[in-house]
Amino acid sequence: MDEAIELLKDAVSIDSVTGDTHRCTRFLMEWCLDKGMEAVIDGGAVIVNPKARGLLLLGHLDTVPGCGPIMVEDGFIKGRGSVDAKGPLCAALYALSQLPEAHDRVMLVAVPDEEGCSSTARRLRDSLPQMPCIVLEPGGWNGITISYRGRILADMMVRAKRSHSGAEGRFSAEVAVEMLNEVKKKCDPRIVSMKGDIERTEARLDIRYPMGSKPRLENTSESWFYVLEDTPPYRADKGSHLVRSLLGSIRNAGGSPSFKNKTGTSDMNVLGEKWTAPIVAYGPGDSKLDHTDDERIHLEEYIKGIQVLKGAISSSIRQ
Amino acid sequence: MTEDCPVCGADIANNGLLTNELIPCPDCGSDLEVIALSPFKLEPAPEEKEDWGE
Repeated sequence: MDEAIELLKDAVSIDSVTGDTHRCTRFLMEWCLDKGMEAVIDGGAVIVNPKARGLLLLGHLDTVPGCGPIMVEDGFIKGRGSVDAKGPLCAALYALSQLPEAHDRVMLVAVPDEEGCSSTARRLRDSLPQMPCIVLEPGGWNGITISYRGRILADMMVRAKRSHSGAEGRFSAEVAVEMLNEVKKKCDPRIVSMKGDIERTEARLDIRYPMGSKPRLENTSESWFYVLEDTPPYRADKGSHLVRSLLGSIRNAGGSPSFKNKTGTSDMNVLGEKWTAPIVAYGPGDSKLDHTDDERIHLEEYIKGIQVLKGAISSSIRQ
Repeated sequence: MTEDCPVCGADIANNGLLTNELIPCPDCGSDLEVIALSPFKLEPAPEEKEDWGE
C-alpha cells in the first residue's frame, strides 16, 4: 500500500484551488498512464478509461483555499484536500489501477470545479450516456452517503424610504431583519454576508433544505430575492445494486455499514437532477473536517476505503 | 427457507433474495438486510444518520 499512500501524499502536496488546478490534473493523468490506464485531459478534468460505460466514478481534484503545507504525522496525512476530496479520489484511482479487468467497464472522472460552479459535472451529465455512478466524497470508510440536501443561494435586497430616526417609518435594516425572521420560519438560512445603509440593505443567504422541504422565498413591496443557485436535493435508491455492492464490501472488510444523509451538496445533486441511473456517494475520510484548518485523513481509514472500493467496483460490474 | 424478522418475529421467506439486499418486513415494515443466504440470515438494515459536509 506504500504506492497508494505516496499517491495521496503527492496529490495533496500539489495545491489545486478551484481555477488553478492544472498541475494536479497533469500529475493525476501521468500517474494513471504510468499504471497502464488510458487517461486524457478534457476541459481541465482527468478522464480515465474514457470509453468505459459500465460504471462512473466521479471525483473532484479541486479544493477550497489551503490550510498550510502538507504534514504526515501520527498516522495522518494533513493538508487541504486530504479529505475533500483527494482522499476518496486517490482511493478510487488506486483501487481501479489494481483491477485491470475493470478498465473496459469503469470510467473515472476527476473534475476541476466541484468547489466552484460544478460546470464540468453538468457537462458530463448532459453529454455522457447514463450509467451507475459512485460519487467520490468522504463519508467514512464504512459509511454510504444516500442523500444530499438541496441548496438555494440567494441575495435579498431591501429598499426603504429615507427618514429621520426620530420620525415614523422603518430603516431598510429593520425591514431586512423582519424578512429574515420570516425566512427563518420556513428554513434555517446561513447569512453569508450583509451590508447596507438607511435606504438599502443586501444580504446573501445560503439555504440547505432536505427532500420535500423546499422553502418559498416570497417578494414583498419592500424586499426582493434574487436566486443565484438552485440545486435540488437528491436521495439515492437504497435498493440499487451499487448500495448492495458497497454494503457487501464494507462487511467483507470487517465494518458495520451506516447510511449518511449529508447536510451539504455535491456533484451527486447535479447528476441526480437528470439521471435515473443509480447514484450513491462513497469515500474514506471524516467530512466534518471538510474545509477546516484541521483537514486530515488517517492512513488506516484511507487504506480501508481502497479495500471497500475495490470490492464494490468488482462486485458492481459483475451485476 | 424462512427466517424470523429480527424486529417483530414474522416469518420471512427467501424468494430469490440476494446477499446484502435490503427488504421491508411484510408485517412490521422494518428495513432489513439479507446478511447471508445459507443459512438464511436477516438483520435490521444499517441506520441512517445525518452528517455534515459534502
